Amino acid sequence: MRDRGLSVAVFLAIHVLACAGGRGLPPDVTLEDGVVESAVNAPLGGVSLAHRRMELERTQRDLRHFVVTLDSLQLRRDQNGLVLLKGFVDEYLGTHVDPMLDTDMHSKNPELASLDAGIRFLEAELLTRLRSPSRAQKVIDDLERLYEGREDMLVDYPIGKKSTLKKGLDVLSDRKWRG
Amino acid sequence: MKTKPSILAVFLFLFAGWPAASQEAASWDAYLDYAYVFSSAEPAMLRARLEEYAREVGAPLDAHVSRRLLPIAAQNGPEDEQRTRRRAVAHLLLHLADGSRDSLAKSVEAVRLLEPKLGRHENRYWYHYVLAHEALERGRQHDFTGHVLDLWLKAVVPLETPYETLKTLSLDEAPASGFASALPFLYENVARLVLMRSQETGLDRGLDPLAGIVRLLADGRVGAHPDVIPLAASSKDYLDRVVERLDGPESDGGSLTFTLTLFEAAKLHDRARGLLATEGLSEATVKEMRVASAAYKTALDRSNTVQGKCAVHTRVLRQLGEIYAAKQRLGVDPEIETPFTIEDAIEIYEKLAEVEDDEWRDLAYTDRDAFVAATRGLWEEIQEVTLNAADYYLSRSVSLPHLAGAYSRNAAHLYTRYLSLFSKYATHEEALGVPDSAYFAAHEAARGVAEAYLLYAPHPTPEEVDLAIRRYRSALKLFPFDRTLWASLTTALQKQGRESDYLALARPAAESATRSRAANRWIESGEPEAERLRVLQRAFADSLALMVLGFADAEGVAELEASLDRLRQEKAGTEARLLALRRRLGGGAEPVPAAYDSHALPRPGLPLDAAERAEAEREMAEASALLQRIDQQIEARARTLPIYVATLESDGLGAELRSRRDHALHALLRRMHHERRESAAAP
Repeated sequence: MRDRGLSVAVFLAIHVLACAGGRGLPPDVTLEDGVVESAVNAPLGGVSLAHRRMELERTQRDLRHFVVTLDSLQLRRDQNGLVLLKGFVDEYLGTHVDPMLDTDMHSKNPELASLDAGIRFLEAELLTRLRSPSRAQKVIDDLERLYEGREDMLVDYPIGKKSTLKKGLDVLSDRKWRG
Repeated sequence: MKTKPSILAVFLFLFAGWPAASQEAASWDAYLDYAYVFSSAEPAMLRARLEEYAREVGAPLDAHVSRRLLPIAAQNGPEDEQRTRRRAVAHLLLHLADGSRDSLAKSVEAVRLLEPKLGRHENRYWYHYVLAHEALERGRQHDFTGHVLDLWLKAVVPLETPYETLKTLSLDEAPASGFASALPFLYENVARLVLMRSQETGLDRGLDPLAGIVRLLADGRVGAHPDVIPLAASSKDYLDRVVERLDGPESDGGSLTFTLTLFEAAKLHDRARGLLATEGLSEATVKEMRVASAAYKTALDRSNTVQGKCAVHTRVLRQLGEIYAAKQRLGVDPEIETPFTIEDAIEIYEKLAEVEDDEWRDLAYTDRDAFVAATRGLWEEIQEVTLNAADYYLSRSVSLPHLAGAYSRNAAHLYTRYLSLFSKYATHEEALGVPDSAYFAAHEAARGVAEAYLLYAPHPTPEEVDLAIRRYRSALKLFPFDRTLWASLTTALQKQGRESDYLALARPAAESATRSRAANRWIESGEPEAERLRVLQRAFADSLALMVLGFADAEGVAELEASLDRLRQEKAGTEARLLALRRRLGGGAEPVPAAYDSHALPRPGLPLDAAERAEAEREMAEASALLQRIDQQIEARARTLPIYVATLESDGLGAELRSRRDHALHALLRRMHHERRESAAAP
């Protein structure tokens, strides 16, 4: 919470300076991607928690949309389309999802744990479709580590269904090598 | 058809209240910095807006560019990125307003100078936005898709969390909130670029990876900020419909290219339909129909799955049906070419109908209900266009008597084709791909074959007449509740001199209808039209009423009633004569009722001799027999006439089923058909 509060304070300070300076600083200065990253390990509560939950929910939905679109391209054997979208998804996971999940904070928060696990499952699913079994295995390892002892927790996986984390991991491990 | 919403007016209103713009004097620099607000407007509105800004600023945009934004010579040092960006945006606006390729080239030239400065979101956005437009102009779908994906990843995604944070702090409209506050407009602009601009420039392939972005846009992004962009001014409605199509039964495995192409074809189809309604089959209408047909062909070419092909054929058959109906109604026969045929559609249908278990997934359907709905939808269009086309041929056979033989047989062939399809797939009640309305349509087709040969063909061969009679019987079995059909069968039999066979041929259909458990349950439960069916069933159960159905017509009811009166008079006369004969024979003659006195023979004065007695006895026997026959006739007519008259009130049931393919009775016809087949197959 402290880090997050600091971020906001810095933002407000720059904002005030911008206003005081008449024409202000270039607008983007306050809004670089680092704002998101700095908040990753912050304790969560109140508005921040609500924000984070919203962000995770949006990411989860977005990943589902990517899975559906990849499946659609695969079904129609659209190789050019697959290459384009796989490149996009790969970069999206690397630049957006991985930094977001680079914390064990979510798994410890009862309000976020299920979302966090769901996103990790989707990421592994996407990595499987991207033919990156070793990266998918890393996500599986993270899931096993972060949720050790909570194998009976219900997660949104396989897509469109709910199952226990253990069953989800079994399905995922099976799929990983089949691509 | 929904038109693309015009957002400019609303955007301008917003722009007027935009902090930066409101706090500074009107200047092109300010307008260019906020060009993401209005850059997606349609060309005419964008031109008007730029002209208004030009009046406010005191110089047109191109003059401003020439005076203030021309590239700086290298020796003068590096150009400020803001200036470069403004030049790129200015040229893009000029291109979007008047279609100038030169402006686009200059915009591209300027935006490429920003390549070392893409760390800034605003630069990233305009960089990919301008290059996406260039790719569109050049028809490079791969580049277009790539730039939109990059724009999303590098300009939109990084702004989403900051925007939410600013919004929570109510700082999203603050002057220094930066480019993050542009996010709702970026969503809108990407949606318009992908869904509308791409189609306006004719890009009809390679868009499928963008289906992911379109789904994201529809998921809580476009339309989610009504305080910034009112819903009426956003593309949300169109976007939602596109996504619904992507996931629905009319998709091609989720292909965005296909969905947009089919949307465009449907819009052209609607336009042609509108012209048909107002101008009939005018030259302009025919031209629009050709354009729509060509657009459907493009959609078909873009489809990769049976699902997509089914969607195209379903829509294109509707157009074919409309054309045939219009040609028949308007009595004209313009040249209209189409690359689609009913046979092509039947081929697609067969692929759908032969699916087993969960194989529908292989055809790209996402759920079973969608698969069933699509399969039945295609069947219904096949049946409608077949019936419409056949009707058209029959009407032509009347208007062109010298070609009646050919036209009537064309109609018969079409009906027969439908009946073949029906026999092949309506094999059991649960046949998934066969809609309830197929059974009445089969009745119409069977009757159509019969009438094509018997009423329209000038010289049907004996084989054709024989086939017509069989088809009439089939039609009666499929839908016995059309009173006029029974008389049609009699007419057909008369052509062969076989009217005496009527009862034998009609009775199986009548018995099948009266014994039907499904029909009886329907009537007992008081389902729709139960009372009308009950009346008809009563007629079918009475062989005399059945005869009347076959040999009488509605106009003859008065004649039937008059004949009953005549019989009653004849009976009275015969009874009087019988009484007189009894008196004449002497002895126990009863007193003559006063009413009969006028007809009474002279009272016997003298006993009859043997010859006279024999003659009187013979006459009496004849009169008795006649009276008995008359009694029978009166009893029969008195009983059947009301039954027949009651059936007249059921008239129109067929027309109702024909006009309403969702009529409840279609389901009953389905049950009755399969019930009859099962009982026929039973040992």
